Amino acid sequence: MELYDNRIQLKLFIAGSSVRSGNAIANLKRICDESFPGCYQLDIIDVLQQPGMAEVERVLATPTLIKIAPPPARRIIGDLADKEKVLAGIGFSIE
Amino acid sequence: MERPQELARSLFQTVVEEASDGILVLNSAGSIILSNPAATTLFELDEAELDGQLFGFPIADGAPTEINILRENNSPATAEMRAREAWWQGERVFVAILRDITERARAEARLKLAANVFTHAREGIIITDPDGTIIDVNDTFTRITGYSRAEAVGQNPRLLKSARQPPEFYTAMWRALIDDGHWSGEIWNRRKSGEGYAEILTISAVRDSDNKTQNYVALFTDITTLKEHQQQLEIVAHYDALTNMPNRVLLADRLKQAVTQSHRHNRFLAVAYLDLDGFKAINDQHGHDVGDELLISIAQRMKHELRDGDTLARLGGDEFVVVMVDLTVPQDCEPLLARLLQAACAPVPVGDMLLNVSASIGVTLYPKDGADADQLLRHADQAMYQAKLAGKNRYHLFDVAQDLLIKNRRESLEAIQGALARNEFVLHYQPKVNMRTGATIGVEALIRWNHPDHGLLAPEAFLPNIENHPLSIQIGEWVIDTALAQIEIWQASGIEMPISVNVSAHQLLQKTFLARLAALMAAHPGIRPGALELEILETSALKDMAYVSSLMRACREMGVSFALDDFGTGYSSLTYLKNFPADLLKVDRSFVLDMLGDPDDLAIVVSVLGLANAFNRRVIAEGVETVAHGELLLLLGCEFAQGFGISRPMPAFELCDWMAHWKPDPAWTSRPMRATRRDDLAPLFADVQHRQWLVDMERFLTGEQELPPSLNLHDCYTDHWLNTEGRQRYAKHPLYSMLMETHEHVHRLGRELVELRRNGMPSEAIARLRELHLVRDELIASLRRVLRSF
Repeated sequence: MELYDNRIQLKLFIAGSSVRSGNAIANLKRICDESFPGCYQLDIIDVLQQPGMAEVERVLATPTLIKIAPPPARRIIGDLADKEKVLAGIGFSIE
Repeated sequence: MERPQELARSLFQTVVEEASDGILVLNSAGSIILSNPAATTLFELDEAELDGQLFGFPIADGAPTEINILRENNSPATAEMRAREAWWQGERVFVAILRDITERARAEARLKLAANVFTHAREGIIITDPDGTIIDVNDTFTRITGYSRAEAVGQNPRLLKSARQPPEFYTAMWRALIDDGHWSGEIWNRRKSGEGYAEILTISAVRDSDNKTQNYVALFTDITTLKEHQQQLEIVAHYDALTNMPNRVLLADRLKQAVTQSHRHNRFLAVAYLDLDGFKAINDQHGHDVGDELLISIAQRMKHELRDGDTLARLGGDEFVVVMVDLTVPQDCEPLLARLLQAACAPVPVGDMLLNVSASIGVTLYPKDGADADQLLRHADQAMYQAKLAGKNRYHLFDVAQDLLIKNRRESLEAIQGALARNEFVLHYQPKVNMRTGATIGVEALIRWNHPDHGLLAPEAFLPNIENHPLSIQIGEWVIDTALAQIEIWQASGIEMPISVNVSAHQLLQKTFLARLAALMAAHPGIRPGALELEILETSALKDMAYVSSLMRACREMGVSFALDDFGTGYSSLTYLKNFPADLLKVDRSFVLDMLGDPDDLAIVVSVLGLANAFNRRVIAEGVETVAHGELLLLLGCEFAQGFGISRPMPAFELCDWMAHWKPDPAWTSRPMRATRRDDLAPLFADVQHRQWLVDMERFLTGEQELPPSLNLHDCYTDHWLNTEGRQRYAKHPLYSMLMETHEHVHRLGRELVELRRNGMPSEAIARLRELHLVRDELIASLRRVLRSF
């Protein structure tokens, strides 16, 4: 339970199984595996398959990454290739 | 008045509002605090809806990044996003600039797809410029043709051309491309290796908005394997697996073509059906493998004997068909047939054995045999059977005339069978009368066919076709049955009118004849004895006299009487007369008809009448066509007669009326009832002889016959009679010397006329014919006077 609570919870919204979506997923996983090895949870939501989820989170465009936990919630949009910018965008800075 | 700074801000605001890119200003949490109209258009939300929405931190400084805009109606949009950090009203904000690239993205996707299709298609693709120069090819092109892209580009597709299609083919292809913008079909091309291949090819012209051809795109699939497979199937379907000769299917095709060609070029065509003699024995004795080898050898040998254009086909087993075309005359096939026979009967080495068979061949020739292809084969088959019957190792020609005869007979049998079923036959009745009293003593029933197309047909028109056929028995029984029914009808109205019915020897000799007659009689129980008479035809066919006479006796016990028809014809009349219990003799009409002109026929009539008298049988003469016939018959003591001179056959309903109105000729009724003495017949013969003599004379004078009648008085029957019997009996008659003189006058005149004709004066001779007639009439009148006065 404690372990769970300490986890970093992420949601990635993508649109379809395009090359761009694939790149976004691969980039994000690489960043997470390097930065939070073993302690993050990443949900990937294809807005074409689950449009309801996008509505709930009021996602306006893809790729959008939402950090749900730890609070505060943050979201970023755009290119997920640059590790530093991604981490900064969701509120982590690299020591 | 606004300050320059405010003016600049106002201008800046206008620029932002008019910008074609969407612009969002986001606070540090990523929420939208400002948006321009282009942004609201892009998101399909109004400004108020966008205001405060969480968009997220844009991570796209420097290089633009593509994002997908989510819209409520799910229509996808793609934007290129740039982002900048900025300060606004003392706060750190982000400006995101979104350029709508939806259309561009779509076009790129399409291009990418097209490129994928081009590269990975299983079809070979060639793209050329309008002049046909190759500008691109795909990988499959290389795989199929063997040419790399580098080798192909810059070349013309002629590179692949094979010689399998004629120039017209390509002309037509280009015509279709120019006119319709596309062409598709099958074509044989050549690979880089030189090997030919078949492809299904589709070429399309790609045109610009001015309808001008920009490119040609050709798609093709290699179908060589398919073609080869198809060819194999064709071989299996059209060739015999054992001998590789055409099979029945291909034969039918070739034969049809050959018939057409023969017709077109006015040549003969021979169809030979060939069956090996003694092949089965070899199969049985040495096994099928040996038999198969023999078939292969003989087939090859026979093929070798034929000309190009001829067809040798194997139908199966040891049966072959040869089609020989382009024969100038029918006989042209004979040497070929002889060679085929030779090829079939020469010994065939199989293993260490020498095998011997021969062939029987049936041949039919088109167009002498004008049948269709199927029938030609059947006819040749029939003829082959004849060749077998005739002793094998030979050929037999199909006999068209014989076949036609058989066919006609079969058709007419069917027609007659149908007519019987449809009740198209009727009986007409010809009265038989006593010429002296005018009484009708009976009628002869004669069959007629009331043919729906050809009207009323006489029996000669159809009965000969069923002679000795079981159908003739059915017809015969129908006649008896119908006659019996007619007798009943007449009896019911108080008319006693015996009917005679013709019965053929064939019918009479049926084992069941008596039983069938009894059954027919039993079906008409009211009929009185003697009402039915059977006239037996062709008595000479009745060999078993004992059987026939007992049969006739049995019939008589049933009340049926008999007449011997056509009496006098054939050889054995006397024996029949002695043995058969017939009540009546009918003098054949041929003798009666000619007795007025032919002393021999007259002699026969006299003899038959004498025989009837001697055997105590009644006699009736057929063929009474004129009053003169009747007169002579009466003179000879024959009172009963029938013939056109009395009445033609008529339907039953006309008979009563005819009987009520018919009167015999006064020349008949005036004659006293007296049989002529044997002695008095001589002048009759003289009369008859001179009639004929004069006819022959006329014919000679008019050039109708080459020789005159005998001019020698001693050849003349009358001269002979006048000088012997006549002199003894009539020498003292006052007319005798005049008779002698008139007779000599007749012959003298005859000689004179013959001389005239021979001396080249035929018209003078003909002019004096009337004189000869007068003298002849005088002679005959004198003869009659002499005859009557005794």
